[in-house]
Amino acid sequence: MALKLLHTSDVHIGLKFASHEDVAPTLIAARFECLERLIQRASKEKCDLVVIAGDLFDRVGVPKSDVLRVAQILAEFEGHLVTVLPGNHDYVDPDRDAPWKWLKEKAGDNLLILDRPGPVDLSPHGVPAVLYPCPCSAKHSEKNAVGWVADVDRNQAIPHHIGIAHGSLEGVSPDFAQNYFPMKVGQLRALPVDLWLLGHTHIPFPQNPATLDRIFFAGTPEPDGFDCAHKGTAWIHEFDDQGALRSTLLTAGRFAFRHDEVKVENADDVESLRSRYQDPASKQLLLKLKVSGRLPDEVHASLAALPAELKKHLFWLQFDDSAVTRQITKSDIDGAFTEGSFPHRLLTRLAQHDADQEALQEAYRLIQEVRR
Amino acid sequence: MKVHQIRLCPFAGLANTTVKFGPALTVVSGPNEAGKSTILHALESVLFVRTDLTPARAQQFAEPFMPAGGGDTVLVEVEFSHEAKHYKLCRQWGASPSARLELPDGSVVSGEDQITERLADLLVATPGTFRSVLMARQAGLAHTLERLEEGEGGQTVRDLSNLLTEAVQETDGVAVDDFIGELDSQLKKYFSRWDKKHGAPEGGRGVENRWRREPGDVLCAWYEKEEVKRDRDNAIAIEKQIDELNGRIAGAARLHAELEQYLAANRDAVDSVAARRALDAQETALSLQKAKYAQANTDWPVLVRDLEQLDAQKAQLVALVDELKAEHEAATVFEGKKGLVAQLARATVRKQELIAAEGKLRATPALTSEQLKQIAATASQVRELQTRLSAGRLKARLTAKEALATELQIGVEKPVEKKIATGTTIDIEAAGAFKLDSSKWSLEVQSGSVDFESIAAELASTSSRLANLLQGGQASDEEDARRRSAAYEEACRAVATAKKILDDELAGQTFEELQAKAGGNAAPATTRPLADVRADLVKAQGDLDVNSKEAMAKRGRLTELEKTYGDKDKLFDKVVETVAAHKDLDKERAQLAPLPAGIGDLDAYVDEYRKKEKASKSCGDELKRLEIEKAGIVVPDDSAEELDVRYRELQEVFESVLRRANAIERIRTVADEVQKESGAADRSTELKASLEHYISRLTEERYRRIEMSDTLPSGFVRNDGAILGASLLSTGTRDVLGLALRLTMGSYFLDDDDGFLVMDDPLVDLDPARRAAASEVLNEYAKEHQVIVFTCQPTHAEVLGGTTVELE
Repeated sequence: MALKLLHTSDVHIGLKFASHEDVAPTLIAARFECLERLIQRASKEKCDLVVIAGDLFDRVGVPKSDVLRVAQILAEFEGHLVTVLPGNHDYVDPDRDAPWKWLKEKAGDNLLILDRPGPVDLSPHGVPAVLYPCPCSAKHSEKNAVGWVADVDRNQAIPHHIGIAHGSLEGVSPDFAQNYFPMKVGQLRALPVDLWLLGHTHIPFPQNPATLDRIFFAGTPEPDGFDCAHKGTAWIHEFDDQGALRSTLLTAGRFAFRHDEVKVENADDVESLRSRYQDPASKQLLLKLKVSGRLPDEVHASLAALPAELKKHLFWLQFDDSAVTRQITKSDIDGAFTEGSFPHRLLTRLAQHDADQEALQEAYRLIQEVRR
Repeated sequence: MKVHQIRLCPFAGLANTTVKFGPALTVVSGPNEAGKSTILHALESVLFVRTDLTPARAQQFAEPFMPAGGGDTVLVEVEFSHEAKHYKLCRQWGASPSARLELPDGSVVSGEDQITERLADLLVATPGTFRSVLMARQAGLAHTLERLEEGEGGQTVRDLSNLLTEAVQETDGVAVDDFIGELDSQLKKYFSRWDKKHGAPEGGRGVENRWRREPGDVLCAWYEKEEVKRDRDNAIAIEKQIDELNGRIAGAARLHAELEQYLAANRDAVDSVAARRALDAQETALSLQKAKYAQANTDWPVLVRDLEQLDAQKAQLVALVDELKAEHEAATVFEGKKGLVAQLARATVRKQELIAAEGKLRATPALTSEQLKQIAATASQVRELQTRLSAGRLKARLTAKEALATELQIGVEKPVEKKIATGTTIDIEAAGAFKLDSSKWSLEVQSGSVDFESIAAELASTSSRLANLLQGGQASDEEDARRRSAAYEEACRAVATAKKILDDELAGQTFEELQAKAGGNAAPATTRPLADVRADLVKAQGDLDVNSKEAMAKRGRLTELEKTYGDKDKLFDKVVETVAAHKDLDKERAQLAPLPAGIGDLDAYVDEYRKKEKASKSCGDELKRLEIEKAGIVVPDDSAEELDVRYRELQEVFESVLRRANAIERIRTVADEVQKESGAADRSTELKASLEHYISRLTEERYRRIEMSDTLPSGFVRNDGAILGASLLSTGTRDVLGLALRLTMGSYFLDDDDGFLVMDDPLVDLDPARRAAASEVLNEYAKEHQVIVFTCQPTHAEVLGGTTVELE
């Protein structure tokens, strides 16, 4: 029996973007909009099921207004069911109403919160699948939550058996302290499910799925920082009547975060940099631009105007040209200062050693400041 | 380098102007706005400003010099010579920048890099030196001189002592002290309260005990990032604390739920235990009663049957005892005659043995020893006779030539028939004689040494007598006779021995007499030993006692049962009543809450329940305590991840600030080194002589010398020997000093090379006398180095002389 589902995770509703104070409201709103787009896409694709594999919310103390808005968005799904697994950021906390109790209260009939380990037969909801949810009960854990699945007897009458878990996966997610519900590929493969839908790692996995791949990370659908270089992703997984799986990676995000490091050596490089971000996509780009290199004095002076020019084409810019130095050669020093004068001697001495480049720059700047 | 002419075409306000310079002193004069500064700019630009500037820089440079009447290009051409060779340099900026340098051989260099390289060889000083010293409008020197005026007394002297050095060092308008001061100020700004050695705040004062007064930029950046780090670590700790508490809460909740589940499942069962115990007690009593009835019911018929059997057994035992008593009596009598009977028994045996010996004797043929002697003597006689016959031994061999039938008689033996086949040989041996007798012949051979016939006759007679004797003794031969004789003698001795034994047993009485004494043959053959009989009797009597006692006991028990229960029917009724009561108890028990399976010991079960009840309460209390503890945790607004991002950003900021601060520190170190290694000081004697020369000439020898302190000048020595500090100099004298310094430095930088010195109104503040002196000095100076003077004062131009260029 065929089954089509949309798999996402790590939406992190409620993320504050404190480091981007000036654009934080837009970025915060973008995460809701992204979720909305995903639900619309799932409806349009006629998915039976939407699976959110953890960290729908950024923290357990997310404001109620955010939860209610999410409930409203999820209720718009036109398929059978939206299932939400608590991840390590929005873990199950029995002492809190937020977010799960609020969400349960306000969500429609088409929402199932997978807050308990144990097989969940979706047949009553019209979905020919059994889910094996492995919710997180803490932010950190050295032990993953999938262990219970090993003791389950599969109901052979139901065609699809899908595990849903949240945490790091050895070889895929960096988790050096083994603090985030660490799982291993071998362990997941040994468990009696047909497909693992995972959350936690913000980068989608696998990059190029093979026919027999059965372990998937959705990646975050809306990039949330500079360690997330993709454009926001989610999967559509489709089982045909013969049980064959086809997985399609969607691009889901609006904003992109990028950290560019550009080396400039001359005026042409600066010009190239000036025109580099003029494509329409840059309007949604948050860019950390680190420029390095040595420029002739007159070119270096032109750098000052560059950030303002770039900002016109970018959504957000952090411009760092501290690694760009004036090209101060002996000829420059000879041209600007009297031979034997203090500035000439000082700058000449500093220019002799590469290690003194920053000192040379500072000295040059200070000399200009105190020069009459 | 000597400049011959410059053409501006156009450059700023001059559209097409050519100015020619003399080889020594050239004075360019004209009123203000006539273009003096433009020419000076043009000269500086054509020599030092490249045409391959970036558009922005080109615009920035060229814009002020664009033609006043319109146009997008400025051009300057300069002709000069170096070592008597002629060059022409043309540079054009603006819309079509270009540069070309015509070399003495007519060739042209057009690339800026090559032109710049060539110019570096042709110009005797660096562009900076030209700009700051040789073509300057005395800005740097003016600053030096201004400082002379600022100080007083010793301060002035100190300044003066550094005058020459500073004049050289500060020609670029950079006051070393100001620069060092700025560096120190920057260092303080960066490093205040920062322990550079340990890379930490002074005194180890972290964010919790921070320096409030004058924290430097490095410390501020450090505090800022450490504060966020602290917040981040705090957030992580709180998150972990909440994780840990959640784990404990979940564990406690799980345990509490398990305990409550157990308590709920067992509460009714535990509550029913008291009633169950009462029922159990009743059941125990009932079971005892039932067992008692059952025992009575079982015992009753058994007792009756046993008594019947015991009675029957008793009769048998009584009979047996009687019987054994009789036997015992008989046995006791028998035991009294026991010696005679035994003697009789033995005598009887002996008698029978005698009878047997006598019977055997009778059966043995009588051959007495006498008879045996006769037989032995006769047999001896026979053997002797036979020996005598054997003494005449004969041997003969007969070979038959034809078959022969004969009789052969050897000695006295009977003749035997003998057939001899043809050719057969027989050997004949005989004692005393042999005889062969056939139908045809007879051969008798006798020994010639014995009387065969008489011996043979005696032998026959003796043998016959022997045979008779043997026959009488029923013996076959002598040996047999010996055996028979021995047997007979043995039988005789046996009879005698038996008789003697019997006689000994009878002790002089006859057998019959003994027999009579012992009671004859009346002794009962079946009488058992008295001990056996007695033992059987005791046993039988014991059995009888046991039987009696057992019967008595059973009879007593039966009597008791009859007395207790009346009869068996009544006993049965009681059993039925007990069974019914038992069923009633079972019904009551069934109505109680059931106990879990496998519960054996009710006390242990209740104890376990109570323990779990206590544990559940304790667990519930712990759960509440943990929940209160968790509720008391203040969760930071920002997550650890967000704070970590912020921390990493601030770490980068801190590193950047520290890097800059270290750069300033490095500049400070190098600045100290540069100051200590002042190049000008090395040539201080030369500078001093030059300066003294010009001061003396310009002051008409009013001041001749400079007083030196070590290698540096400390004051001026007047003609009268007085040493005057700068503050004591008149204004005019200080201007003279400025000019002298300028010329000194010109000489210093140009040295012996070709070069030019540009001066802007050098005589402006001098009185006429010193102006004339200055004019003279400049003309002299121009003999060594080309001098171009710009002035707006026609009188100055006139005083100066030289090549004159007048601008309108």
